Amino acid sequence: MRHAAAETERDELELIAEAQQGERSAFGELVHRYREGVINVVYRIIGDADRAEDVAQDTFVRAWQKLPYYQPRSPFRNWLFRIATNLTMDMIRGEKETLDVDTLPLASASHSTESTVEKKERAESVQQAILCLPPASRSVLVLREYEGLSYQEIADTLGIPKGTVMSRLSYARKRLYELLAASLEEV
Amino acid sequence: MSNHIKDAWIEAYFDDELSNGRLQLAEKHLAKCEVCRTRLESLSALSAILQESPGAEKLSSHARFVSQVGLRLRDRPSRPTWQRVLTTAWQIFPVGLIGTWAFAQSVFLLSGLVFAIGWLGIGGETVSSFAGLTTSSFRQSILLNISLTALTGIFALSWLASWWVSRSNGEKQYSVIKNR
Repeated sequence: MRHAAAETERDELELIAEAQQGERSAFGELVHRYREGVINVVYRIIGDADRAEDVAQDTFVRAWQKLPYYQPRSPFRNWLFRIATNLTMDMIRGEKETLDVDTLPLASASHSTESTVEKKERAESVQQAILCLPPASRSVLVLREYEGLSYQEIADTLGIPKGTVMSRLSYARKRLYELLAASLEEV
Repeated sequence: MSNHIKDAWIEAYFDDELSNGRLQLAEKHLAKCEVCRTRLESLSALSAILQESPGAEKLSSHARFVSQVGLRLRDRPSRPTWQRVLTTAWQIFPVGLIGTWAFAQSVFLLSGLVFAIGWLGIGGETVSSFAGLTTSSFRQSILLNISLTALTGIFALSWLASWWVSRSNGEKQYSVIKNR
C-alpha cells in the first residue's frame, strides 16, 4: 500500500517533467490533482466560488506558460499557490474590494442547541470575517490555516520575509478574535 | 504581560514553528503559566472554528474544469532555446573539461619529449633546432601545465558541487512530496 503511494508520488515528478516537455495529458493530470486546492485557496481569499474557479483556470493557464521555468526546489503545489495568490491579489487590487464590517452576519451566542442551519450560518460568518481582513493578511492566514504551509513555505510562496508572515498572521488572528467573538464563546 | 510568551512566539509554538532553545523555553513556561495556556487554547479554538468553514461548493465537474483549461492552453511550452543550449552545455561540460585537459597533457608531454631529445642531442641538429627550447621556457611550460591542471581541478570541483546541489534539491523536492 505504502509502495503504491510512493509510486504515485514519484509519478508527480514524472508528470511535471513530461508537462515541461509539452505533454498536455500530463499537465491535465496535474490540473486534475490540484484543481480543488487552488480553487479553495482563491475562494477563501475572495469568497466567491464562481470567480474562484475562473481565477483557478487562469492559474493553470499561467502555470502551463511558465512551466518550462519551474524548478522543483519548492513543491509544485506551493508554486501553483504562488501563481494563484498573485492573480487573486491583482484582481483584488484592480477592484479595490472593500467589505463593510457592519454587514458581517455575526453568529449569535444565545442558541444552546446547534442545528445544521446554525452551523452553516457560523461557517458563513467565518468566511465573511476572513473577507474583512486585509488581502495580504488573508492570503497568509488561508495558506497557514487551510493549506498547512509552514512559515517559510508561505514566505517563499508569497515572496515576503518570514517575519512579515508572522506579523500578518498574528494580525489576522487578532482581528478574527474580535470579529468572531460570539462564535468563539460558543466553542 | 512582560513575563509571558510574546504573541508571535506563542503562535509560532502553536504552529509547530519553534525549535531547540525557544521550544524548550516555551514548553517550560507553558507548564507553569495558566495565562499562556489559555492563550494557546484560544488559538486552538480559533483554528477549530476556521476549519468549520467549508471550501468552495457547487463547482463544475473535474472533467469539465480540466477540459476548459485544456482549451485555453496555447502551444506547448517548450523550454527556450538558450535554456536548452545551457542545459546541454552543462551536461557535457565535464567531458569537454577532461578532453581539454587530456589534449593539453598530450601537448605538454610531446613538447617535453622533444625538449629532452634536443637537450640530450639524441636526434641530432634537426631535432635540437626544431625543439628550439631553452631551460627557462621549459620551466615556464611546466608552470603553465601545473596552472592548467589546477584550473581544471577547480572547474571540475565547481561542476561537481553544482551537480550535488541540484541533486539534493531534487531529492528534497521528492521527500517533500512523499511526506505530504
